[in-house]
Parts: sequence; structure tokens; C-alpha cells
Amino acid sequence: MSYAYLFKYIIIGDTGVGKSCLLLQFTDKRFQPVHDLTIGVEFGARMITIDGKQIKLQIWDTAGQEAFRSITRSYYRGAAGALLVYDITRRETFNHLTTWLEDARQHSNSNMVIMLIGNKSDLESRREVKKEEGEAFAREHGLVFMETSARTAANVEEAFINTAKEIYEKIQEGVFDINNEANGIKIGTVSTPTNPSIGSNLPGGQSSNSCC
Amino acid sequence: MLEWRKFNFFELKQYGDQDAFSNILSDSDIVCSTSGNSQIILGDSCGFIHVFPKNFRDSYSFKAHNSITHCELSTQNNLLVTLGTDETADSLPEFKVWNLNKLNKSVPACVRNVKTNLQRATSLAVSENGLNLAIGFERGNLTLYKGDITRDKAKSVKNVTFGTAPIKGITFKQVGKISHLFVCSDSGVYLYTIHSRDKEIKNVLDTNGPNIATNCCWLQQSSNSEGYFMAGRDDAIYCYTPEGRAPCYAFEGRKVLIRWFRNHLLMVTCPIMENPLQTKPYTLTVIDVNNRFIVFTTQIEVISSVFVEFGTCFILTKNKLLYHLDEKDLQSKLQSLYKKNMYDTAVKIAKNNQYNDAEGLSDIFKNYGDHLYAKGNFSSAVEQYIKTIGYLEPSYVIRRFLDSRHTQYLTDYLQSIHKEGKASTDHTTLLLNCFTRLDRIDELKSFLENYRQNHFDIDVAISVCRKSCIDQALNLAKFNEKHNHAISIMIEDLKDYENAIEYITKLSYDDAEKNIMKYGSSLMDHVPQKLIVLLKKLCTDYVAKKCDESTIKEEEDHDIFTINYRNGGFIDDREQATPEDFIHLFGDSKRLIDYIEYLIRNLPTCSKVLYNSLIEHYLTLWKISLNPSNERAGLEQRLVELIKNYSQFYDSNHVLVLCQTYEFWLGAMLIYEEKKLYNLIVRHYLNTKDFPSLYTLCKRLGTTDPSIWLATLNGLKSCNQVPSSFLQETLQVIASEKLQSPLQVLNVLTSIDKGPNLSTVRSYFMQIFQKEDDFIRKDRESAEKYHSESEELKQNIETINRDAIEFRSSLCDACHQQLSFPSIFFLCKHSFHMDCIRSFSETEKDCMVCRKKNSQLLDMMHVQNESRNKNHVFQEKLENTHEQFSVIADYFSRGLFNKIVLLSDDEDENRERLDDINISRKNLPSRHVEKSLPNISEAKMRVEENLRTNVEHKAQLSEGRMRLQEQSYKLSKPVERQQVPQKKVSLPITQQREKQEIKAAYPITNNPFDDESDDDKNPFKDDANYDDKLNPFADTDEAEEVIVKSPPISANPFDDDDD
Ligand SMILES: Nc1nc2c(ncn2[C@@H]2O[C@H](COP(=O)(O)OP(=O)(O)O)[C@@H](O)[C@H]2O)c(=O)[nH]1
Ligand SMILES: [Mg+2]
Repeated sequence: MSYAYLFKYIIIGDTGVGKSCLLLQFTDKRFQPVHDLTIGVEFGARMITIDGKQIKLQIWDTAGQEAFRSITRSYYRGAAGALLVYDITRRETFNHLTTWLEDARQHSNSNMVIMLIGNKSDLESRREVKKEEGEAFAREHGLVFMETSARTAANVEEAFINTAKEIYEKIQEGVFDINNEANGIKIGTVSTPTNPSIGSNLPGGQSSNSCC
Repeated sequence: MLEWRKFNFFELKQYGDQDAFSNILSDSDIVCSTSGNSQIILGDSCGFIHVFPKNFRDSYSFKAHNSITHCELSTQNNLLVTLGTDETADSLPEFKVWNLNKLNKSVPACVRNVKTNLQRATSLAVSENGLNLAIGFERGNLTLYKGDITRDKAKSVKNVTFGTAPIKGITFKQVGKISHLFVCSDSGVYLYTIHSRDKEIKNVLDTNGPNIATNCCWLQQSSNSEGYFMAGRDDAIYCYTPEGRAPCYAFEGRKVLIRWFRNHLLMVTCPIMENPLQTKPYTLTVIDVNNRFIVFTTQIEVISSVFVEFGTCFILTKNKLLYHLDEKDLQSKLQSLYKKNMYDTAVKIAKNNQYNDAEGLSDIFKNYGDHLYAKGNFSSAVEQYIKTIGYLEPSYVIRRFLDSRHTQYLTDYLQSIHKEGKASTDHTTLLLNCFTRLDRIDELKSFLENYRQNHFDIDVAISVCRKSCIDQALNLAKFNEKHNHAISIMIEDLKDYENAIEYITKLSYDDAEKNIMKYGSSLMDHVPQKLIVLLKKLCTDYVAKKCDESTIKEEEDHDIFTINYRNGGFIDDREQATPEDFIHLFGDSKRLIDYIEYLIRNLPTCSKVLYNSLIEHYLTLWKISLNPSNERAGLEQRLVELIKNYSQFYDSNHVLVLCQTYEFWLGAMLIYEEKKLYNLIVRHYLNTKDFPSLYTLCKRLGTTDPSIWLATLNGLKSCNQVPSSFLQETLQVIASEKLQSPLQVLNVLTSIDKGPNLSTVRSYFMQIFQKEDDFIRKDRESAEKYHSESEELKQNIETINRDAIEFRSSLCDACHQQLSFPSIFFLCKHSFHMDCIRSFSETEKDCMVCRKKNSQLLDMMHVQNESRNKNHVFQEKLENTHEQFSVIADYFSRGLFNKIVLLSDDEDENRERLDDINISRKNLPSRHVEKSLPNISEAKMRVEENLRTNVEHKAQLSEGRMRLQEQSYKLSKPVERQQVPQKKVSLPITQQREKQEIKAAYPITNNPFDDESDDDKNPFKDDANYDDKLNPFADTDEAEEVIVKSPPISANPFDDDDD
């Protein structure tokens, strides 16, 4: 499937906050109540359209457990966007956000777009973290905030697409070096009007290393 | 820390035929191995290569190098590449290419031998197609040999550096014309892409974090088209694609080996710190990456290699023990999953295993459902149960959710059953009830509307809905053209008669008729006008009314159709209702009359029932109408007209009864007259004392049937105040028409209360007496006449017998010439010339003059004789007639009880005839009176006369007859016995015998025939003698004599009884 850009995302957050479910809802449009524990890193992909352009989202779903933190870390690099997820029914997941954010900032490139997501908004009755708290945290750390429900699919689409929009805007602004794949952005195999010269090239920018 | 769930889906088994294997590898160590093309290839520490086919027995070995470090197979051409050193351990490594397809005494052809330029090779890779070969070295550099690996081509050798650490693994992956080379070392994972046109790109896929060693790698070549390159590090197995990073599976432990085995990731790990005491230091783990759990794990001794070949997985330990992994069957896998309540996974596994047997799957769903149900998670349980539809008996599920708390779930389940088209009518009923109980009318509506998808039984649905939501039921019925239901709902439940009839009007003929039959009466009660219009149509030319919008267009078509229909319509009369079927619906006479009149006007033929009912209802109206009123007069007129002129259309009996019950005598009279039941008319007039009408009636009808007068007279019996003139008139007619014997008339007259004056009846009786006198006189006269005639006859006979006969005539009676000899003289005193008589007749026996008269007589006798013998005819007549006496008399007159003997020349014939007579006499009482025939007809006539005047003797007569029969029965037997054997017995003898017997029955003294029976006095005695002497006429040529024995008329055998 041809695309204009490929954006790499990473989903992070404590285990059990619904990361895998969000991904599944976004890629497969379904909810699996009993989702297996993520051990390691999994990924999913989906095409979206922004500004009339086909954009492929490649999303890394990580294990939230502390033990896998090092594995997860290696995936921060090369991600253009991150969904930092907490569970609105479990305050500790909200409390851990700072750690996650630090980790992400430390291991990712500085331009990475981070979206703060308060998941399980369908469980209003069991809510422990107020929406305002989430909003406040996001404001404080310069994140985009959204409450979602992987179960009802509320805001799921928006969460992923808004992130993509923001990345796209940054590209347009020239913030991202789109030729550095480590930024988590790849220019598609199709020639696009904006990048005719690059389009004919092959993906990846480190061809300089090849020996002849 | 949460980790992988663990199952045991495999068994590790030692390979059965171990010897063949271990013998070959007796005292060397395995240093390298590869597999492919159904062969397992091992390189040992002595520099030998061992190639094993599937059976492990037909193996071959050859020495490849002094010492071998690596070997790889290019499967496409079956080329084996070995890497080793030939001389000293310090010498440069060299690689050899062997063509395993070209064996020479179990040594394959070595097609290439190349020395590498660097010190120590750490890895070797060859592409599947045999076009690329790469050797990795200690310091992160790699030599790439491009082009056909069997040929030397210096130019195509290339050196590339990937980091600084020793290269641990290299793998080629071919994607179209592009070859990807994955390279991994402790520094990182790299991708080297070789494009066809000498264009090569190196990419870093991953750089290792500190202290995490990459130990091994493998290219997944499963169905997954992506084909991951997997690098095993201590913390996890990382996957890569040419695009970049792919999933990673976290699994702690130093990876010795990783393989991809049927969607499973197999890895061998060893402890980071080696413990020599441990006998089984290694761990073999198989992970199902799709389902994210470990399917097998075991501790094992040091493993030297693992081969995925021959469809299974072989594990070779350092001690040269060969194991293989056996997958358990699906059922036991599922069982272990059930135990852990992992039904989702069970389903997934079942599906992955091509376990497409839906029944098996449904079993899993059922278990899952049961589990969820037990946990109280009903909605999820139902979700699972829904998946079992079609396999699991629905009642199993339904039973679980029958509790009213679960109605919601039950509804979901039932709805799904319907969607699957597996619902029975019971399910439909239950579901609809659930809907209504939950008050989910909208859902119910949409369920009912989606009839096609939901596959339910409409009838059931309607009847269930009727109980709870009529509107739905009605819509459903209408929509599905369940007219019966629709109408019954409209009428019985909604009482919406207007719409009901409107609805019926739109139905096809058959449906409309059926429904009218069913609901007609209630419709008649509420919407009579409309119903009648419909009924009229049904009986004439019914055409279902179409929707309103299309009426105009329909009308045009309709016209054509009607014409066609009219032309051919009556052939198929099924399209017209029988009007009388609807009569019972009408309660109101006026409406019915209107209806029937309409039909009679518009139908070519109408049944009698219709006319009957029309008359009946006219009568009802007539009965209730005011007596002197126009309406009544009009009705009367109409009725009379109808009864008079349409008698063939109605059932007159029925109408008669009607007229009687409604006391419409005008009509009744008409029918009586029609049916000629005049006495009933008379009785009616007498009852109502309407003598003038009676008189005119009698007058009118008397001409054709005078008996009406008699009826009138009889009727007068019970009637007083009879106008004398009328009585007189009546009597007059009775007298003139001789309708009744005067005695009876008298009887009647006397029985009348306050009987009529003598003056009224005088003239009648005078007339009667006059007439009687006349009769008596006449009778006397004729009696005298007969008497004298018979005297004369007797005289004649006497003369013939005793005196000589004078033949005075001198002329021939034929030619009227003088008689001359030979001449013939007949007793009748006619004489002829012999010649004359001969010329006139052949026989000379008959007098030509008398012949005609004689032959007539003879014929008559013949006829009588014949008919006389037909006893059954006699019996029949007796039984069928009212006037038995006249029948018997008639037979008497024909000589019933006499012998009639016609004598002719033929003796045999005579005898036969005698026998006939004798035999016939057996069955009849014989009478012994003999008399000649001549006055037979007179006698008969007289008897008949008697009969006429003595009708009342009948009873006595029949009594007599019975007695006669009795006797005849008694007599018949002895007679038979004596007569049948001797046919020639003469008649007088038999007669005498019979006489004696008869005497016993009849007192002889009283018998008037006694004298005559006396032989001496019997004037016919001589006649009897004739018989004895045989026919005298045969010889004499005299005129034929007829002997007839018949009782004299006066000798009525019943006279005695009368005394
Ligand atoms: N009610 C509700 N449950 C959710 C939602 N998202 C996830 N879950 C549940 O949370 C549990 C953990 O989800 P999972 O995606 O595995 O979390 P992860 O460890 O972050 O990947 C699962 O049992 C889900 O059913 C949500 O939006 N609403
Ligand atoms: Mg997860």
C-alpha cells in the first residue's frame, strides 16, 4: 500500500491501562475484553488521510511492566509520536505519568509529539482521576490531552489522528527532519508533489554508509 | 513480573532409531549443522560432513576440510557450502561449494574452493538461489560473493563492515530481484540491500544497548509474508523487517539457538553463568507468538543443533541424542485450555489448526458460555452461546435464561437464532413474548419488519402479537397477506369493521369469499350496507379492488377484463359465489330482499333456495305490515306474481309450508292448485267458510277434475251453515258425475251438524232413485234376454244331439249352384260342393261361411288360454291393483278355473296341451263346472258391473280369495303326485278325484254345483266322453268342436260365504 508518509508511534503507560485495546480498536475497530498481556513489543498499522494525503501509521504497543522497560526504551527512538496512556479508574497510573514522560523525553527525539490519554472513559462510575487533572497535567507538560474509551471507541480515532495531524503540521513547519528515519517519519514510495526528488529515492537516508 | 502463560502442547520424544545415527558420529563432536531438501547435514570435528536422508540410515559422509567451522545449504540447487581450514589452525579459512546432486561414491562434487582473505570467520550465509554468499568475520567485516556461487568471479567479491563486534549471524532474504542481507552482531542489526543494478545500501536497523549480547539469529520463513529477521538477545527476541523494527518478544536468557517452527518460535537458552554440575543446563522453549503463550518448555542437556525438517522438529544434543517434538492433538490442547478457562484462545487455536469443523468450535463456545454463565457474566455468556447456534440444541441455552431476570439475554439469543434461520415456532413465540415483557416494542417492530432476515413463522408471530400488541399483529398480517389473521384481528380484537370490509374488498375472490363466510355475521351487524354491496359483487362479477392510487388506470383495464370475463366467465363459475351461502348472514328481511332481488335481476340463473328465501322474507314483511296498507298490498301482489309465474324456480313444498306458517293463504291456494291438492283448497275454504270462493273454484276445476266436488262434500261434513244452494249444486255434480255412491252421500249428509233441509237434498235423492230404477230395469231386461238366449242354445244342442239334422239347402253356399256329389254338409247347415270347398280351402274341415267367425273365436280362446297360464302375471296384477275383485273376475271370465281344450288333428299336441292344463290346475283350485264358452264376454261384463256397484264387498272378497289359495295349496300336492307320472290319464278321472277332495273343504250339501258335478246330470258328460274316445272330429271331418269348461256366472263361489 502506497503512502505519502509513514509515521511511527509508540504507546506507553502502565500495564493494564488499555494500550493494547486502544491499538486494537484503532486498527481493527474492535474491543477485546480479555486482552493478553503484552510481553515485549507488538505493533499495528493503519492508513489515515490527512490533508488529502495517505499516511501510514505504524504503532508500537509496548509492555507497561517495569521489567520490560529497557526493551521498550529501544523503541522510543524512531518514533514521531507517542500516546502516553493512563487509566482514569486507577490513580496510580496517573501518578506514574511523570516517570513515563521523563523516560520518553530522555530516549526519544525532542520533536516527538506526545498525546496524553485518559482511557476507560466509559467507566465513569469508577473514575478516580478527574478530567481536569488530566488537562492540567497536559497543560503543564505541553502535551495534547484527550479522554478515550477503547471499549466504546470514543475519541480513539481522534487520539491517533490528532497526533498525526500535529506531526504533519510540524513537518509542514519544517520542524522535523523528514530525511532522518530516526525521527520516526518516512517518506512514502509514491512520488508526492511536495517531495518529487525524495520520492524517487529509496527510503532511508543513511546510504552514505554503504561501501563499494 | 507477569510473564508468558505456559502450556504443554508438545512432547519431547527420543528418536526411535538412535543407533544408525550415533554410530556414524561415534567419536567426533558436531561443530556445525544445516538442513534442507529433506536432508540433515552435520559437520563434525574431524572435518567430515554427514548427510542424512529422512530415514537416517542411507546416510553418506565425506571429508570436506581438515576442520570445519560452518556449513550452509543453498536449497534451490542443493549446493552445500562448507567453511573450514585445510592445514593448520592458523591458515586462512576457505570455503568449498559441493553439489550434493552429483555424488561420486558418496562424495559430492566440489565445484568451487575459495580461500578467504581474513583470519577467523564467525558466520556464513548463502542465499537460497545460490547467487549470494557471505562470510562474516571477527571484527565486524563481511565478505560478500555475488554471482553464481559455483563459479569464480573475482570481480564480484565485496567487503563491507558492520560495526566492530564479531558478526554473529547473516541471513539472506530475497524479495523479487532485491536481495536483503541481514547482519547481526553485538553492535547492532544491519540491513544490506543489494539491488540488481549493482546498487547497494547499508541500513542500521537497531543498535544494541550496552551489555546486551546478540547471540543468534534466524529468518522466519513462515506464511507471514513479512518474514521477520529475528535476533536473539539476552532480554528478548527482536524482530526486524527490511522496513525496520518489528515486534519483540521478551524472554530472559542467553539464546543459544532460535528457530521458527510452524507459527511457533522455538528457542534454546542457556544460563549465563555455566554450571558444570547441571546435567540439563539448557532450556528448550516453544512460544506461540500469535496467542502469546509458551506452548512447550523443558530443561534439556546441551543441545548442538535443531532442525526443522521432514515436517517436524529434531533436536540433536551434544551427546548425539536425537529428539523430536511431537505436537499433541487438538482435543488435549483444548482440554488444557478449558482448564484455565482460556476459551478465546481455544477458539483461536482451533481455527489456526484448520479446525474448521464448526461443530467442534461450537463445543468450545458452549464451554466458554457455560464458564461465563457460572461466573455470572450473562451477557458474555450469551454472546458465546449465540456462536453455537446451529449446533447446540437451543433448549439447552434457553433453559439457562428462563429466569425473568435473564429475559434480556434470552431475547438476544432468540433473536440470533432467528437471524440464523434456525428458529422453531416455539422460539418465535418465546421471543415475541420476551419483547413484549421487556416492553421493547421498537425492537419487536423492527424484528417483525425484517421478516426475510429473521425467518420466523408468521402465523405464530401474529398470534403472539395479538395478545399483546395488536397493531403489530395487524401490520404483520397485512404485510404478509395473512388475510385471515388480519381480518380476524380487525373484527374480533379491534372491532374495526369499516376497515375490515374495506380490506376484504381488496382481496382475491377466494379469500374474500372465505372471510365473508367466516365474519359475515358480525360484519352484517355493524356495516350491513357495505357488506351487502360486497356480497352482491361477490355473487356477480367480483374483481378485487386495488390500491386507491391506481384506481383510474385499473378501471380501464378492469373494463376490458370484465368484458372478457363476462364472455368466458360463466364457464368458470368458481369465480362467483353461490348467493344462498350468504343468506344466513342477513338478519333483516328488507336487506335480504334487496340482495336477492338484485341477484335475480343480475344472474342468469338462481337456485331455488334463493327464491325460497325471497318468498319467505316477503312473507315476513307481509306478515308484519299493517293490514290495510299499500305496502301490504304491494307485497301481496308481488308474492302472488312470484308464486304464480315462477313456480319452476322455487321449491313449491317449501314455499307451501311457508305460506301456511305465515298464513298467506292466497299463495297457499296457488300452490295447492298448482300441485292439484284440491281437497286442501277445499278444506281451507271450508275452514274460512269462504263458500263463494269454494264454489267458483269447484266450478272452475270441476270440469277437469270432478272429484273436487266430492272433496267438497266430504269437507262439508265438518262444517255447519252450509248455504243450501251450494250444497245442492255440489250434490248435483256428484250425482251427474257419479262421484260417490248415494249411500255414502247420505252418510255424509247425515253427519253434518244441523244437517241440511230435506228440500235441499230432495232433488238429489229423487234423481238417484230414478236412476237406480232405470238400472234395475235394464238389468232385468238383459237377464231375461240372456236367459232366453241360453235356453235357445240348449235347445239347439239338444237338437243336434238327439234329432236328425235336416240339410235342406240344395244350393252350394259357395257357388250357389245346385248341390251335387260329392258334397259336404256342415253342422251349421251350410253345404258345399266338395270341389268348391277345396277350391276355397285346403283343409275341407271348416265351413267356409262360418270359418271366419270360428277362427275369431279360436283366436280369442288361444289368447285367453295363454294369458291364463301366466300365473305370475295374475299374481302381479292382483297385488298391484286396487280392485282385486275385478282382476279375479276378469280371470274367471277367461276361464281361469277351467280346462280349455282346443282340439286339433295333432294328437301329441293335444296331449301336451292336456298336460299343460293339468299342470296349470295344480296351482289353481279346480272347479268342476263345465260350460261352453260363447257367453264369456257377457259374463265378464256383468261381473264388472257388479264390481262397480259393490265396491264395499272388497274386503270379503279378498278373504275368499285367501281361502281359495289355502285350498289350492292343500290340493296341489296329491294331484301332482298322481298326475305327473301318468300323462295319459283321462280328465274325468282326475276331476273325480279332485272333487272328492274338494268336497272335504266345501260342504257338499251347500255347494250349488253339487248337482252339476253329478255325472249323470251333467249335461256335458258326453263331452267328457269325447275325450275318452279321442277326437271324434278327426275321423268325421265334422266341424271342429270346442269344449270349454267354465263355471257358470251365477255360480259365484263366494255366494256361500255371503250367506
Ligand atoms: N471498560 C474499559 N476497559 C478497558 C478499556 N481499555 C482497556 N480495558 C480493559 O483493561 C484491561 C487491560 O487492557 P490492555 O489493553 O491489555 O492494557 P495494556 O496492558 O495497557 O495493553 C483489559 O482487560 C481491557 O478489557 C476501556 O476503554 N474501557
Ligand atoms: Mg498491552
